[in-house]
Amino acid sequence: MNLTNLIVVFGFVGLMLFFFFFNQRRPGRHLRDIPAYYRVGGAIEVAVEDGSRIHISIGRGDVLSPQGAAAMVGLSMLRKIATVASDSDHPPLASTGDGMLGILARDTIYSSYKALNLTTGYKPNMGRVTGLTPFSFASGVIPLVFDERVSTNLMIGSFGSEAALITSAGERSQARTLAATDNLPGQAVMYAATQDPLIGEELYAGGAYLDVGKMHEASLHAQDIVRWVIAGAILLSALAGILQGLF
Amino acid sequence: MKSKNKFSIQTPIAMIIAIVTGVTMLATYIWPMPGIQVTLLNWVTIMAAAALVIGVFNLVSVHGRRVIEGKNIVNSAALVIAMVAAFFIKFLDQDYLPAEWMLSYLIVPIESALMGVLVVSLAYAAVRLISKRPNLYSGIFITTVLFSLVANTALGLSIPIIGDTIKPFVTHVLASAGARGILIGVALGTITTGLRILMGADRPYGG
Repeated sequence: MNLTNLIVVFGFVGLMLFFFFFNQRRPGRHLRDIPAYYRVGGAIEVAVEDGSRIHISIGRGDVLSPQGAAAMVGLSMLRKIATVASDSDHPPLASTGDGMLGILARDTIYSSYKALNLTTGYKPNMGRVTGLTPFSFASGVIPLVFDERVSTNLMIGSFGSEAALITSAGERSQARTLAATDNLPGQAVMYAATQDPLIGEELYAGGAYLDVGKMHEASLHAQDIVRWVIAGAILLSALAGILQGLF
Repeated sequence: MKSKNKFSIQTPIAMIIAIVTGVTMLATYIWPMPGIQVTLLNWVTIMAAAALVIGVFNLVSVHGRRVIEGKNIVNSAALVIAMVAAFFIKFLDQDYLPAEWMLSYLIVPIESALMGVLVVSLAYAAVRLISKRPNLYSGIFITTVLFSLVANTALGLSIPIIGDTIKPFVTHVLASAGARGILIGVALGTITTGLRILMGADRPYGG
């Protein structure tokens, strides 16, 4: 039996459930400020009101690898946005660079439409696979941003440095771009190339800020606690190393 | 807008299958059961391959429709024709010589050209960063980028203190410490995302 894995899993589940019930008892949301998410929330509302389109790119994260988690966050946000903007003149579009993610994106949009009894408005090409290699994926997204009257461009998933080509297209079409990835070179590129970059674990906070569900907020609090524990452990071990060297 | 919460028999079935499969897979990492783990992974790999084919069909259908509707005909027609041609060349020719020719003389040069465009885009983004977000972090970012670029050249490496002290400190201590910090955050986010799906709080399968 792998005891470490067991402790990690049950520790996280326990913390998430604790914060889930704890947050039910206290009114309001208790999240640290990530201005990018507030600005995107406003941009989504504006897009719905003025009839422009929201584009959500979920990236190229293979669902069978750890990168799949970033794509799952993108799908959660897609569900929320598809629900909010489904009856807009220009409903949201999703693009992916992976076959399985393409199926999940279409299914997510369809289930949002179905929940609202708007299945007649659903079109299968709302979720598109634009390419299956990094550059072909980016090249496929660029015309989509230009041709489909996109006003808000969300890139939430696993992207490499090819993200710069997409953000550049967003900038030229004057679309607001929020971008987050789990990939380190991709994060560096996005930091330079977007108005609203998100760093590190901020990617996984999207669901909590866009009100996807209470469990998103609880898992964010659990993440914060564990992060502080790890930071404390790293500092203590460094201190112990220094003391061991001195004496 | 409020959901009408239509009951669908598919929703709980999909949720049960997803949760049971996910929990079983997770259990194999706690209590090793190689037989079950390999079998499940094989099934998923077959499904992923099928999804890849569906993805290709989706790509062709989207661009085929654009050609029919007369939207951006040149690019979409080029994509569809190239894809069909590549498929038949690969399918009919067992020597793969034309396929190799396509890879060497079409795909590699096009991807190299896109990398060139990427370099220009990144340089432009870096310059724009100073005007868009003139703050301390942007200054540190640009300074580090410029320093790393210069320090990694032959000239930079030959400068005494820069090449043998400052550059290794920046790349091995500062950069790797920052990268580890970010990766710890990503790992924590990955764990909580996976657990949300196993708990049924997130349902990316349409449930």
